[in-house]
Amino acid sequence: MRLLSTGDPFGCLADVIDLPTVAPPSFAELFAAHYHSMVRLAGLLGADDPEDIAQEAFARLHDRRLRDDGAALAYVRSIVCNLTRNRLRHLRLARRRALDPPEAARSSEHAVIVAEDHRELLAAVGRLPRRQREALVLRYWLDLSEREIAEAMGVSPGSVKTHTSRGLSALGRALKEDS
Amino acid sequence: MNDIEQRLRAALDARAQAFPASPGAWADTMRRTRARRLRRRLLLVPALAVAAAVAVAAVWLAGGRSEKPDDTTAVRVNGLAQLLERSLRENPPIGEVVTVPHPAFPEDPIRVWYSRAGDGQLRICSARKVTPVDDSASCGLVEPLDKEEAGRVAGVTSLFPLPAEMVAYGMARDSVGSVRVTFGDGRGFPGEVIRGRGLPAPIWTARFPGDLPEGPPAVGYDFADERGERLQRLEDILSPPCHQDRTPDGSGVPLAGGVTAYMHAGNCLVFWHDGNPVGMSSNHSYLTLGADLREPGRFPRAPVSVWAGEGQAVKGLWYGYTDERTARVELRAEDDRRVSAGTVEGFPGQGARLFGGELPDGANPSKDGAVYVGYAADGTELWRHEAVGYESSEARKPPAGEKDD
Repeated sequence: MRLLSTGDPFGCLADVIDLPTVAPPSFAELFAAHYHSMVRLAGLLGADDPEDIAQEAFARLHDRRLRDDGAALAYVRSIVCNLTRNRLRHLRLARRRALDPPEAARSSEHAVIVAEDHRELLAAVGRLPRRQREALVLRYWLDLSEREIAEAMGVSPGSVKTHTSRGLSALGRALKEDS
Repeated sequence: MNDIEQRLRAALDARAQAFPASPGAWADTMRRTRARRLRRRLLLVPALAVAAAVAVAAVWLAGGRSEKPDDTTAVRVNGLAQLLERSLRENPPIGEVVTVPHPAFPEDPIRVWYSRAGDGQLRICSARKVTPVDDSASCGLVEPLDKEEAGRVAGVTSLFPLPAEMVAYGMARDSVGSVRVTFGDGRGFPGEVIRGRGLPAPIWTARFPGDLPEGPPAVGYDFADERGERLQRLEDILSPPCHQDRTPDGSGVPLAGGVTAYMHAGNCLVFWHDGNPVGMSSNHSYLTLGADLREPGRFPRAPVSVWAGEGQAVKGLWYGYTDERTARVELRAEDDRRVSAGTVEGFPGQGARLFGGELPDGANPSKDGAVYVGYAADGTELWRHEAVGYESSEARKPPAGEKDD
């Protein structure tokens, strides 16, 4: 039997991805700067395993090898949104889990950090339609512009405006009803 | 900003604090990139592994009747034909079986078709000649294309040394109207998108020369729609850095079973057996083997690269390299049978030691996985790596979100 094995079984071919022309530091820096916020974004969007989503998004970015940092970050954000959306759709957890992070993620100070009024508001966010929640999280947590939100959500800037406005109205109504 | 907006910001900020990031996130992500790449290359590892298995089967099927040793044409043709027939029987085609001319074997075209696994998942299969005496047939799982993906690479013919001409092929999204292979020096080579009868997705092929420009042996696959607008560009590294250098640099280090390790230019280690390369390091050309073993984010984390099992190594053998501290490497097969190999001095300045030995009878680490353990001279365990076999890695749970859309 004579077969060429072009590398080791652990990921040989992948080992040549980071050839000098690919500028690996840029990926590493991007990862260091934004990984945690992508975990948090996935968590805020309702993912049951935010780290899984964030790692997958960065792995895909690595495959794409986008050299422009701005484009790369936008790409990762959109992948986090897509993967979270898919995850929720598949597992049908959107309503049951709402914005609850996984149990393991709760710190001992969690109950203190998330004050009661936050809970009420977050519960209302969790009940919003998926698109409205995405728009609100991207707008009010990541402080993205309408254009950036549109890119992340894969919709037009006009839709972002609509989702944001409807989301805020719905929150207002929900809070009034609760009080 | 109104009250709700302010409260929303504060609430989201507070909630965000509850999502931690694990310290091993970087390594885990690197592991994924490697796993994804392996899967996307059509599952090249399984393909090679299966290639070994089916080539043996082909010999059995075609050669069991004691053909004359010099009757290579008859054996060769019968081998591929019977292998194809068997593979089609075991993996019934969905739609047409596409024929792609093979530049190295004009009389033996590549066959590509879709099939479904037992669980209903789509697979793309191919059968082709690998060398004049080896045939390959394999199927690989086709995960659903992501929204931003227009196609995937399923296979590329001969990679080392780069031949005069190669063919790449794979699957494409329905919206793909054309595909083009591009080189870093601007050259482009149009391919073909085949919409055969009953195919669940188009199959693309592209033929291109092996005289790649200097630098990493990279090509791009540009997918465009019917109007010529680019849908996606896939970049692909065709082979490790020593792809064009077939001549060993200096004398070799003999290992078990007739395998000899040679250094080539660019810190490239190649294991040779019976005149054929049977394993090649994939370190960057600017890194010695030892430096590569210490690279942060490297996978596996353990300082070892090993070839073992069908499709990765010479049948019945395992071999590789490890760091300078390791005096002995133990292989624990899936059924816990163990073999070990002492390490021998490698090449000057490379900072690595070599090892090699025979596998336990019938063991196939590439398929079933194995645990590798490195020991110091005094018997202290230095490192351990659990390698997952391709069978279990294919059967594993798909990553988040990949089964949608």
